[in-house]
Amino acid sequence: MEKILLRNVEKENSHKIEVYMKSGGYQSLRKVLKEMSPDDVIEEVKISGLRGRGGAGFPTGMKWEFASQDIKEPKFFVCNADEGEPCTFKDRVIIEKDPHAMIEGMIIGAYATGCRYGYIYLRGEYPIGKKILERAIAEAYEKGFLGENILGTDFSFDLHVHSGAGAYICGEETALIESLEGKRGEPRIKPPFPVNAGYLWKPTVVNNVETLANIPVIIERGGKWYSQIGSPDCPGPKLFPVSGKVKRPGVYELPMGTPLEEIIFEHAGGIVNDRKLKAVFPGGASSSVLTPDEISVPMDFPSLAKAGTMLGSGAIMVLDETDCIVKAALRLIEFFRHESCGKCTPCREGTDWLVRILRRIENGSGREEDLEIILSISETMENSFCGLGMAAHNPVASTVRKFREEYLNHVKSGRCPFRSV
Amino acid sequence: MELLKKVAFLDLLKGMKVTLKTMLKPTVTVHYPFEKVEPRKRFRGIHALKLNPDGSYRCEACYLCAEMCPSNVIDMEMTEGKDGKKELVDFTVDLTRCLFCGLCVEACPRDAIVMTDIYEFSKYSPDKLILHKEDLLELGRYYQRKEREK
Amino acid sequence: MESFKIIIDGKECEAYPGETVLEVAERNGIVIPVFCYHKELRPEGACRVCLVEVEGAPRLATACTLRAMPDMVVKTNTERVKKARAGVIELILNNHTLECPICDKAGECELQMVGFRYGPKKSRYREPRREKDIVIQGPLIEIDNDRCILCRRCIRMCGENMGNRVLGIFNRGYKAYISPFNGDFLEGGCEHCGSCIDVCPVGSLLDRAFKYKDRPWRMEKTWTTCTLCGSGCKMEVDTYHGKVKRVVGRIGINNGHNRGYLCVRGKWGWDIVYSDKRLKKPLLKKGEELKEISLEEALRILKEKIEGKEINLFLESSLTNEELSKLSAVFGNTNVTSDALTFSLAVEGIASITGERRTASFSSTEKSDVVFVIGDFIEEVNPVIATLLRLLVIQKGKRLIRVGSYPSKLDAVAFSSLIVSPEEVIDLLKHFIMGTIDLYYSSGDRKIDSAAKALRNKKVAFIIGGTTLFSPDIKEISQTVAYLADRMGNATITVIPPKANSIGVTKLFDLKPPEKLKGSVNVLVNTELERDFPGIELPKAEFTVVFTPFYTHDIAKADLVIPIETGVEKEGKVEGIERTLDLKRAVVPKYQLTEIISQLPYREGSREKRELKIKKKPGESILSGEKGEIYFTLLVNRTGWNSVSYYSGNVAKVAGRRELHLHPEDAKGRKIVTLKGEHGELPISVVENDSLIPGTAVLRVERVTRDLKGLVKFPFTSNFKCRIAEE
Repeated sequence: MEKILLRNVEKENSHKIEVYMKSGGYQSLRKVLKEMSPDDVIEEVKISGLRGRGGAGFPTGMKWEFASQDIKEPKFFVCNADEGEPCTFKDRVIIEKDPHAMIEGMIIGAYATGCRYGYIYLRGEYPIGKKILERAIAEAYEKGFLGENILGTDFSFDLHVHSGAGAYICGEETALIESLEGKRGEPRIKPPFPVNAGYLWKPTVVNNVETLANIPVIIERGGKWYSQIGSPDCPGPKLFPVSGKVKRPGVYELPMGTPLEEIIFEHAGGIVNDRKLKAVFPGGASSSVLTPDEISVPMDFPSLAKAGTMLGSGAIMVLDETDCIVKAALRLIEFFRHESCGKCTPCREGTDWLVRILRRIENGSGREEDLEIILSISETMENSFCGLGMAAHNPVASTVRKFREEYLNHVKSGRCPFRSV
Repeated sequence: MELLKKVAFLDLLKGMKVTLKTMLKPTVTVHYPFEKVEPRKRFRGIHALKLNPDGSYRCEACYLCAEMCPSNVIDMEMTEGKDGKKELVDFTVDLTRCLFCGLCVEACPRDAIVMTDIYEFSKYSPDKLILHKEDLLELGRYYQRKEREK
Repeated sequence: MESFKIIIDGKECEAYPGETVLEVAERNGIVIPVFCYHKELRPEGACRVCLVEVEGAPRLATACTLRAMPDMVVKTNTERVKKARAGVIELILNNHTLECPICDKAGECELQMVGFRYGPKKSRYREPRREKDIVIQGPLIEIDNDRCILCRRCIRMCGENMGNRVLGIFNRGYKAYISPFNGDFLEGGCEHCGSCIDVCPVGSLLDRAFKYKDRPWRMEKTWTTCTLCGSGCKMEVDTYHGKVKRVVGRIGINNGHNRGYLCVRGKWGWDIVYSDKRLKKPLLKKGEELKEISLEEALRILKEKIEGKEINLFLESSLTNEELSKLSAVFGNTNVTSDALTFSLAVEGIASITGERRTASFSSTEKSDVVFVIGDFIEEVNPVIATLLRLLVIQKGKRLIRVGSYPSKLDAVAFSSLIVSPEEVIDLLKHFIMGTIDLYYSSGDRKIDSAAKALRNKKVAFIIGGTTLFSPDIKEISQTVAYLADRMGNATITVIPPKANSIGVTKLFDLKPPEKLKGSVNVLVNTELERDFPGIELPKAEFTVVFTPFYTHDIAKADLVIPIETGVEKEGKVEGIERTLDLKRAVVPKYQLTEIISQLPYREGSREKRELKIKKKPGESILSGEKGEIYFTLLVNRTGWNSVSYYSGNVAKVAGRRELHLHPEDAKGRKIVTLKGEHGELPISVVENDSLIPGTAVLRVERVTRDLKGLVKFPFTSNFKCRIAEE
């Protein structure tokens, strides 16, 4: 199928503005500024049915509309490029290979919502991305796509790159805003939502890199065309970073609603050494696990929610029969324990307790009651402050539910069956 | 019948029934204070403060014993020691009021206060019936020596 | 505001827009357990204990952050809520240290109470306890992170309510711990107000003066009023067996006007009662020496000496009303001087416009829209009042405008802070007089115009206080302010008393400057000449009697010294900033002033009626600086006010330094300068401070000592003129 998001990636020097402009780049921006009013842009995005690609899947058009309706000034447009989840590397491709698509999307978004200043909150571990983005922004300034009176219109927009310090929690939009303000990266109470009171308590739009990369295409070809790609509820192309025990791991651009089975076995080439599939985490580290019986599920927000898991960032992690599910769950919850900001009790203490129990089970000193305790901790963690805590227990709780036998095997045999003695 | 009763002193024998019955059994009363009774195992005598093997006292001055006490016998003073630990300045047990119920022992979270088997503590002046920290620790040493002997 | 109904646990409750469910529930007597929520603090939603079920919502919500909406149905005691709550409490308790027997909070610990009532009945935690052995010891505050439940009340209290940002969280997740920056309270700029200790729900933040000293539940609690400054803070004094163990403010429970906020003097200054400089017995001068005598003998001598004599009465103005009325009955009320002299000048200035010697109470600020503060260093003289003013802005959303000559902590929250040279303050106020009435008036300064615009048609509460009260201009300033308030109509004026009973002294006595006293016997009550009357020599007299709780320098000049009570030993009433405040005796003193005085014969006295000239016009500044002269303010540090740090061992640990703050332009790179006053000079080390305006300087001292005598002269210790000696 036609590549939409990754259309420029294969080209040489795709991060340079000349290359981008040669393939029709910044034409959408020209169109927007010359022909469309901000409301037209929002209407177009709403027609396209684009939903945020960061994990929550909030309709982008609606978010922009809320922000444009707020009367407070100035408004801020923030690009969330703090991609910190294990096995998620989709934004990196865009940042490093096609930064101008994202910058163009940002400028269009800023025009639609009336934002004056923009920030790209970049993950601290992407130093190359930072260099590329800074150069790209400088190029855009040079060509007059950024700065005062863009393309001779009244619209002005300034863009800065802010490098994070490596905290996963700063991918949460309110924590990102706190961090941008120079405070400790911790989530804020919602409501008020950032679109009404975000950065410096001014209206702030926070969009994911991938979401923004979609915008120029929507403007160029129209929201109607876009809404016909993929599944009807949440249309559009989606980047799926596939990792784990597959033959060809990498980022795949596929329409929303592509079945998980197809992604793993057709696009990623199946399991390494043709072993048996054991489990899949379909939406990043914080999604619930899917067993081989369930992988025919289409990869879009509503279908995965129906299957009891979530699309999240779309990162697919594949485990084969030689992998220990307890160890996988332990590894993931250790990540969340390390990244928990410590603000709310369930997340701070719950992740720690889960790590301790799982470590014990993995080392062979688990007890049968531990499984019940894990499930009850996960129930308590549902009441966490932000999405991190609410989702952090998913990999553990879902594996306990779906792979209970394997856990019991650990407990009964007193050792990890997958570990060579 | 009446006569027989008189001749055989039946009434008298009846009256001496208990005496005759216990006459040949061993005596149970003792000649106190010349003889002393060994108290029972769980006898509740005057209080003592137990010590750790290194000679420090176990009491952490949590005041729970005093809180439990129905007759306000126990009082204590505490302060911060030089090493930053909690230090007991004084621990007073007012034996004039104590009813030896043992609730203080029940309440102690550190097993510090115990009751010895000492029941002789009459003094010439009521002031001396107020035990202080040093007295209680001395009693504690006595108590622990006894425990070890057992 | 339109109220609406919400249903909590089947009970119909009235709610107002903007209220949270927790606030509505609290008002209606429905208990929801909390840790991170505190009445005085911004809700955080971190502890997740206050979870409630809202009909129609898929997830449980935290009551502390959930805004009440019309027709909301909330349930706080369903099985689901109980289970979630117990789950969260279990998580908190899992790694909580079991130190209750030695923890100073046991008995009033919120974790204990909530844990017992709502927690799980049994622990399922089998892992080894995670120890967080990070203890941070400051001079007066200790943080034991092992007991911390990371509710962050202390951080919000310190950073937002007090505006100090000393405490913060270090590390992340389960390793997070609370610490001042660099682990050092003094370096972090801690004011030692003790509010963080007060709001800590567990025993993590400790009062080091109280650490391991007693158990909270067995102490006797006495609610009394702090007399160490004019804020008149209500506080709880805990005693055991007649010995003071600690003072707590109880933020959130306290119903005084200070709402439980205390400062370093109130929180830790109680130990002036046990100062080693306390007088034990009356002293009589025999030859060159002072000999201890009995009280009866002292009274006999005193009776003899004062009989029929005119008496110069030197009063310190933290005496109670009862003591003052007794003193005036025994020693007369015509020949009196007091350190409240400048305060009485301020009242006089206001009275010359309004016609009555009365100032509004502090609660008038609550009803106003704008708070207009004229004063410098309120945070040093009356720290709690400064905090309350700050909270008016932060919590109630009032606008605060400050006029002064020096930078202040209040500037951080002020809508507008106008800092001008001392001689220009009155001119600035005159701009306001014009600006608030004439819509088109322009002062030529946008800042003043916008501030004046903010006052227009608003209810304004004027507040005069701080070191401005000791400025030679004070009468003129207060007259101008009163004129402004009079012209605006809808305004009140409050003068913050610098000492506990400044208002009472002003009401009871006609105060005279010390030079105008003409008696032949000096009676000094509770005063220290150097501190309260700097630069004043004691008038020549046949006999000098000193009533003092401490060994002061005045004892050398005394013929007879009689000890009296101080601090928390006082009983009676004082006229505070809010209303008449009650003092309750927490400890029974050996010598009581009222008892001693009542044994002396009363004298017939008549009080002249003070006349009042009303002239409705603003004041004129009497300050005028020559070239090369600098306006100095003698500022007694927060810790040293009322000599607290001199007598209190606790407060002495955090006492400030003596240093001269100069603008770099004036300092010219010098490290040490010599100050030249009218009667003397003083070499002193310099701190360059560019937040000052050029031409002004602040001399921070911990205690007013003899060497300052040449510089200052009672009653004005602020904005006096000095020269810096050129080398």
